[in-house]
Amino acid sequence: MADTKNGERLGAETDFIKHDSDNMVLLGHPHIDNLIHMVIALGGEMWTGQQRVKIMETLLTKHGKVTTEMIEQYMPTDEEKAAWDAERKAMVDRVYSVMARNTNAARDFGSPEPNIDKS
Amino acid sequence: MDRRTLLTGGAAAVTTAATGALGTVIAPTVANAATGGSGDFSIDAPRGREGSYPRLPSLDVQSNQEFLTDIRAFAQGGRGGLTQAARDRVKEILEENGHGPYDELPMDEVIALVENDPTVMASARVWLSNQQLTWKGVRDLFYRDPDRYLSELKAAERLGPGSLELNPTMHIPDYAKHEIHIQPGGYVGDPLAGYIYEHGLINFFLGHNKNDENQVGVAAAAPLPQDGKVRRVLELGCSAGQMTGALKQRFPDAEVWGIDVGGPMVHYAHMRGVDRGVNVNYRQALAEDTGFPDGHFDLIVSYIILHEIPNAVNTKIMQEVSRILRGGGVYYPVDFYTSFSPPKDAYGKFRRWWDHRWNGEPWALQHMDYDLAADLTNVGMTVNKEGPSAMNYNTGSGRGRPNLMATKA
Repeated sequence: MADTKNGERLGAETDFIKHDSDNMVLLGHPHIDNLIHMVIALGGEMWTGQQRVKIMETLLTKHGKVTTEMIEQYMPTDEEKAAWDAERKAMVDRVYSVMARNTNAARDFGSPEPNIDKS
Repeated sequence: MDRRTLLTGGAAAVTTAATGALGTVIAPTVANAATGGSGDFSIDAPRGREGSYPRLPSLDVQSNQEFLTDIRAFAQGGRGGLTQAARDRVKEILEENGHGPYDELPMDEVIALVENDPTVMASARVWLSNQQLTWKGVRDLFYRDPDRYLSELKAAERLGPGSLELNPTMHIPDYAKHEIHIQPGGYVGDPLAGYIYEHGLINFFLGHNKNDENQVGVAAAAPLPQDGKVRRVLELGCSAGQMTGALKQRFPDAEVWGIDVGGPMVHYAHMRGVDRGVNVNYRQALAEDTGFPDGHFDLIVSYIILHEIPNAVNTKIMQEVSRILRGGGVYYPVDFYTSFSPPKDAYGKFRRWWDHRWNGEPWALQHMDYDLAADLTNVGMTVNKEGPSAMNYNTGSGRGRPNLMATKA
């Protein structure tokens, strides 16, 4: 069902068919899926804070003062934007690239390491 | 100064500030100019614009969206990214099961082979979570103050340029009620769907398209009728109005129409057109039942809409296209398989299945078997598979390849 206020439509919406993506389990246990989701969400929260700090630093350096409005409305230069974009991409690489390792080569914890003679 | 001039002036001032040599705090006077003051409609842009798009009205949400765009790039990425990791892993699985890397296997067998592999499924999980978080971030933002956005949509209804025709009592077929791309409420069920779609799409396009570059590219490529006359143009499935705007830009003297089944989408598209001073007419209607007279249009364009529709309905749409095109008129569809064939390799097939199952693409799987050329030929259109190439950023693989076009006899 579409959102309503006192049974009235809010705008030009109508009924829709809900997708079941919220209930998807792709990794064998719902909490493993939840953990991946949470780690991505947390990364976003962390970057959001970092971005605010960067803008605050820039404004304080330029103007010696800062307000919430100044932060919200700050328009970075092309150079600043490019630098922040690069920093964010590097953070994504540092934090998440482990996800792309070849899990076929991974071993259970405690299993003997191949190619090491322990005799 | 009328309201549109004021808006345009404000936007230009903000753009200038954005591209200046020094970072800038938008002066309150500029912000006021961009919004036209309180109590008026418009896509409010107190935070300025990037390209022609207003920045999201919250720095935190915008920063979060930019992060999620990088996560999507990582999830979709080649070397070092999750897609390449999954693709490599699928090759290993095929070899482990006695198949060559490019063997053509039935879809069911492909799914059974890879659906429990940790690498493949982790790549799907990251992608899915990214999609969910993207929509949630944007939707939650606009629902902090829904009355404001509903009011500006309402206020723009009777303003021009262009016109808006909402049809609140029309029958919406079930096939069109799904949450496509798992966008909450889909295109029909959320009154703010246009805001959510347009801003969520930035993530979809990996941070690009802030000047509607994809749509401008398709509009620029659209072939003309042989006599060169383009008086009326229609887009089927116009969503938030980016393509219709691009078509009006290319054909400034033509009457341009956009139709969409989603009332919220044409609602937003019209407001977007008013805000930008673009003279386009929008109608809430089905592509298989547009309501236009016979032979009305010189050019019809559709952009990544056919794969969101069941094959049987697409057959009806091609009948409608033929009916409303004038003799010599041209249909230019840009979609998944208008410039290349469906994937046959195991990873490609699994990726299509995953998109279908987890990304709210209920009809995309059967679309792999849709014979668009046959349907167009059956309604008397002359099909040319070597039509102009379109910039198909959505699929990433149509660039530089000829695209199908059809001409009415």
